[in-house]
Amino acid sequence: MRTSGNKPLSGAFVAAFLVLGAGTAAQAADGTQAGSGGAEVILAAVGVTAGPALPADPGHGPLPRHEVALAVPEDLPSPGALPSYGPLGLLCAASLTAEPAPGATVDLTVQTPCLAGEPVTLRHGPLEATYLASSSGVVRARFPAFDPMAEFTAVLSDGQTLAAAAAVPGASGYERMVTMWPTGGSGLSVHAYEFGAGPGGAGHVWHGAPRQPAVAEAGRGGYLLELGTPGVSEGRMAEVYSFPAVGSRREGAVRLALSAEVTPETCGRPIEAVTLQIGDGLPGAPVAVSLPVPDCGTGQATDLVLKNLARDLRIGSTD
Amino acid sequence: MRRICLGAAVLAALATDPGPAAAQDVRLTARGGGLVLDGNLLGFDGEFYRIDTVYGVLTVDATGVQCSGPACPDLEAFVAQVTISGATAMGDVLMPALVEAFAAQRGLAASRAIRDPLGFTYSLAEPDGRPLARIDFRLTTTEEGFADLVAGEADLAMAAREVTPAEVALGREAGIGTLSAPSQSRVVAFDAFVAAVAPGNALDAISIENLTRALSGEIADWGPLGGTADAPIRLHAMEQSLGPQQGIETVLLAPGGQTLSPAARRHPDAASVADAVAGDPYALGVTLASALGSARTLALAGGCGVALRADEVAVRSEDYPLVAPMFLYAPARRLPAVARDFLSFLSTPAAERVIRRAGFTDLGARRQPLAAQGERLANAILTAGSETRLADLQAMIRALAGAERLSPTFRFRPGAAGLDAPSRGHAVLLSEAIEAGVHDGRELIFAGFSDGEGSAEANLRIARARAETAMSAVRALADGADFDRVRFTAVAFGEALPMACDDTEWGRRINRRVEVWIR
Repeated sequence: MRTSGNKPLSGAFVAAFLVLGAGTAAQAADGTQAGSGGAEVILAAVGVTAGPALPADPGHGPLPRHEVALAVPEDLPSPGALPSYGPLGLLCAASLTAEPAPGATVDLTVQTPCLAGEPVTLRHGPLEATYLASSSGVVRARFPAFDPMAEFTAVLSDGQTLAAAAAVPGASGYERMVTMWPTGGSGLSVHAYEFGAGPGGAGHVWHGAPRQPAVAEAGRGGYLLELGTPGVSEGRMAEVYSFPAVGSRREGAVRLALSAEVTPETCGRPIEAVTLQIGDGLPGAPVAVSLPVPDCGTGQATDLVLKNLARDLRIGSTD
Repeated sequence: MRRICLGAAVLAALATDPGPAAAQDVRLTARGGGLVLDGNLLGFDGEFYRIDTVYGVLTVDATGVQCSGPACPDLEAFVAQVTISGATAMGDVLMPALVEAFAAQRGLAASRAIRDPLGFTYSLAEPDGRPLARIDFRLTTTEEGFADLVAGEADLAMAAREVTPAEVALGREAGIGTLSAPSQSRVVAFDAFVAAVAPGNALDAISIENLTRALSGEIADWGPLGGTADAPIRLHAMEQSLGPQQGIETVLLAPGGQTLSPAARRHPDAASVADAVAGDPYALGVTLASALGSARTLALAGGCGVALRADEVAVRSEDYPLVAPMFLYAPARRLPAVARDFLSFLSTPAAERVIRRAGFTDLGARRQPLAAQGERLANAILTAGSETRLADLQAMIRALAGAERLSPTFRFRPGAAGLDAPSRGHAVLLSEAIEAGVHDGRELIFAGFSDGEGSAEANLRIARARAETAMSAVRALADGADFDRVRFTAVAFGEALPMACDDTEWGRRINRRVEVWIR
């Protein structure tokens, strides 16, 4: 009823891609126990131990990276010394730093000189997104902080896990709406309509009008963070809308909707995503969501809009 | 999860028995030996077999028997299937939020497969990935929900109104029991119909009479309502086909034989009505409190000056006149364990928080001290006259001194002595709390009130009878309670403390009540 589209979408039940059977599938596919069974439940907070355990892909084998690395020693006189320095002569030691930023966000920096151009997965509790390290091996990302003592991890393509934390005293005063999806698939975008705003209005916050976190700092509204680098293979993308429920200068409601773009690239392919709503003192639990997308060539170019996957936020003014 | 013990005795029994007849697809053998049942398996809910035998349809506890034959279900791989069908007002946000919270509390992973805008399925799985249950939602209307229940196509019906006598009769014919029985229905949450205006509209209250006249188009500008004269009222309403809109018209317009003004702009849901109203200071609409968004509600005023606002306490106690309880109805058969667990979860504090977050009012009891009743008391003094004397008011204050009012309030079916449906739910919840010892060492005062029609003396008598009815209903349900620890008292104050004005039927209905006070 509250979803757009002229006719009901028919389609088979699409198996949830996340939690159901992911562990067993991975083991069956590569025939080994290497992936440390439980780690495939991708929403586990931290502690993923090995490259093959990268999330959301039940079927892949060892990453090609390892094979390349094995080939190197034959060509070089002193292989033992190599791992210590990167292409720019920097030490290979990788690092993750977390700096508090406006609006209960944290600026994360990963330095991994020896893994330039490689994927890096950043995690914060149930939230995760995959980035591509720059040519100098750097990843910069702004993440929301869900807890006053916010812990972050970075998982590198060689299996290393880095950890960092930041104190964000205001973090628990925010309402959050999170969506995550595998790169390559079509995602679910978050739309927040603040205080009665209509589509395209000043209070409509989405990836087309994400706003800056400083807006929230001033109690003037929420902001959206887009996380992840599009196109990383076997990675994850995320969107997080944050609203300062404590300290808002306005009273009323923020209506939330999720949308999926139907394009020639995404038509006919089911969407598989994760939604998570955090706030009001409740931790919230991630829910895997799957939905069919109209077939290509049906002429339904309109986006899918889902109004009932997120509850509205009720905001009391502190003025 | 389920233990299957293959005891030696059972194996021996199986070995010596002849095989099941061709038409019989299962054989249940008692673990201790002795009983053997051959028949066709009709169903398995994870705990019980339903089997059609020469003795008729039998329900057999799976822990007590060994199943053999081609139709035997795999006990380990059993996935409970529950279908929930009915009102979109409940199935849209409220019920999914409750299912997700239930899963989170049990440590189960929840995934939601969307079929189409009005259908989706939750799969709940153990942390190790083993599927436990599939909960199928069909979002239609209350009427369709009851039809699915009667047709055996749903295990729970979501209803935005009480079941009708005709639907009860259909249910009985279909063998799903008596849907109106307290054991088969429960109120999950309360919503309310509210008159909504923009935050910038200066009006604070509207009488139901004026609201009705505005909705019908008889009043077309804000002047007669106490607003800007000659400013047109821009009306917003839901589509006619939607249950809540029909509910609004049944309550507000149908009694006077009126219909909604054709000038009203129609919207696809309650939230759209609220959003349209919120953006226009000259707009007026009746929508659902759960979908209010950034709009503001008007208090409903009676001719005697008492105004009722749809706040949490007034909705919970149903003092507010346009409360819409959200019901779940179940057939009179055993539901899978996961469904029963979910139903028990609905009355926990965790569920109450989810209900509040979804914009509804939960069933958790609120307490209000006598001091918070200032407006009511002031009103009682104002309306006291020839029939209610100062001495009556003083007696009432003395009787309730030091006590707090609990939000559950008993009301009665029109023209009948029996409790209405939500009140039966209050009686169940209150009796459970008493059995759990929540009110140990306290006195529960059942205070009967009446409307002001007729003589004060007769009203006092009716109020006392109602107080005793409510008290004995709770007492009968709390059969596990220790009545040495909780004291029950029934008192009556007749028409002394009106909640609403007696000049309308809805006002009188609100005044005919039994309040529960605790001291």
